[in-house]
Amino acid sequence: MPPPPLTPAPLTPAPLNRRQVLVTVLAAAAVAAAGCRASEDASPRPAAGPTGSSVSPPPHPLLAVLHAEHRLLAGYDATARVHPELATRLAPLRADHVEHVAALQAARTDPAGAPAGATPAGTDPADGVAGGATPDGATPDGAAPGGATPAGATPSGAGPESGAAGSAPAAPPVPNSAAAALAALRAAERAAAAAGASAAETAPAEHAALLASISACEASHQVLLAVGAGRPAPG
Amino acid sequence: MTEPVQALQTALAAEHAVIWGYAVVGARLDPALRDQVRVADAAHRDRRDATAELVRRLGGDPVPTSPSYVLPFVVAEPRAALRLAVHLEEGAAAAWRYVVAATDERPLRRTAIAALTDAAIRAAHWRRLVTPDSPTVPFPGAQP
Repeated sequence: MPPPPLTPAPLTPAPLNRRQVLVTVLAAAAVAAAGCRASEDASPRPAAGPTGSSVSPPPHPLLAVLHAEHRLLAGYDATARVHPELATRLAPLRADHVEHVAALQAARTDPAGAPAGATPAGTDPADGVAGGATPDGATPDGAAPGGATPAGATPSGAGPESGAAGSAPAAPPVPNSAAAALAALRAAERAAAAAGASAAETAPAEHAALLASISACEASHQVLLAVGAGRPAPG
Repeated sequence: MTEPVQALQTALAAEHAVIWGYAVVGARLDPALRDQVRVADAAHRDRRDATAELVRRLGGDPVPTSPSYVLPFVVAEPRAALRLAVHLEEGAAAAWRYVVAATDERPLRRTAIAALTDAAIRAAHWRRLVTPDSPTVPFPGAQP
C-alpha cells in the first residue's frame, strides 16, 4: 500500500533524510505491486481459459489496447518522417508507447499477470512465460517467441500483430502542416486514452492497473501535444 | 483483495499530503506559476472532499490530515518547488493506481482512473518545466 507522497512528520522531529523517504516510497510501490498480484490470486480468471471446446476463445482483453499502441507508434513514425522538425519533441512520447507495447506483451504471455508496469525486465522469467501454458486468447500472434516483437521498430502500416484480428493498423495520412499533424496525434492519443480507460474499468484486477496507467500516460501525451498549439496545458 | 475502503483511505491520506505539499510549492515557486499551483491545489481539495465522502458512505472514518509532513528534499528555491510538485503528483498517481487494482466495482474504478489520469497530467505539466526532454513517464503511478 503506497504511503502518502509525504511522510507525516513525527511529533518529535526525527532526522529523516531524503534517502530514507525515497526508500519508503519505493518500498511502498513494491508493496502496492505485490498487492496487485495478491488480489489477482483471489480473483477468478477471466473467462478466456480454453476448455477444450472448438469455440474460439474470446480475444484477450489486452489485445485491443495492444493494437491501439501499434497504431499510435505507426502514427508517430509517419509524423516524424513527414515533419522531421518534430522528431525530437515526439521522441519521448513515442518511447512511452514502446514501453506500453512491451508491458502489454509481457502481461499477455505471463499467466501471473502484468508486471508492476514499469519494468518488464523485472519480471520473473521462470514464472510461466516459457511454459507454454498461455491460457488466454490463444491467438497465433501471441506466439512471437521470447517477446521478439521489434517494438522499437514498428513499421508504419502494419505492426507485428497485424494478422491477429484482421485489421492491419495503417497509419493515417499525415497532415501537411506541423500544427495539424500534432493535432492529429493529439486526437489519436485522446481516443486511445478513452478506450484504454474503458478497458481498465472492466478489466480483471491483474490488468486493470496497467491499463489505467497506460491510459493516464496517453492523457498526459494529449496535453503535452497541445502545448504551443494555442491551448494552454491545464494546471 | 484489499478492501476498497482501505485503498480509498490510502488515497485520502495521499490527497492530504499533496495539499500540504502544494502550500510549500506555492511559497517557493516562481510567482508567475502560482496561479497554476492554485488550480492544482483546488483540484486536490475537491478530490480530497469527494474521497472523504466516499469513505464515509462505505462506512469508514476518513483518515485525518497530519499537522505537517516531511519533505523528501530541501525545497528552498523555485526549481526544487517544481520538483516537489512532480513528486506530489507522482505520489497521488501511485495512490489512485492502487485503488484501481483494489476494486472490481466499476464506478469506483472509474473514479480512481480519473484521479490517476488527472495526477498524471499535472505531473507531466510540472515535469515539462523541470526536465523538458523527458516530460512523461510510461506508467504513471508505477514507480520506476
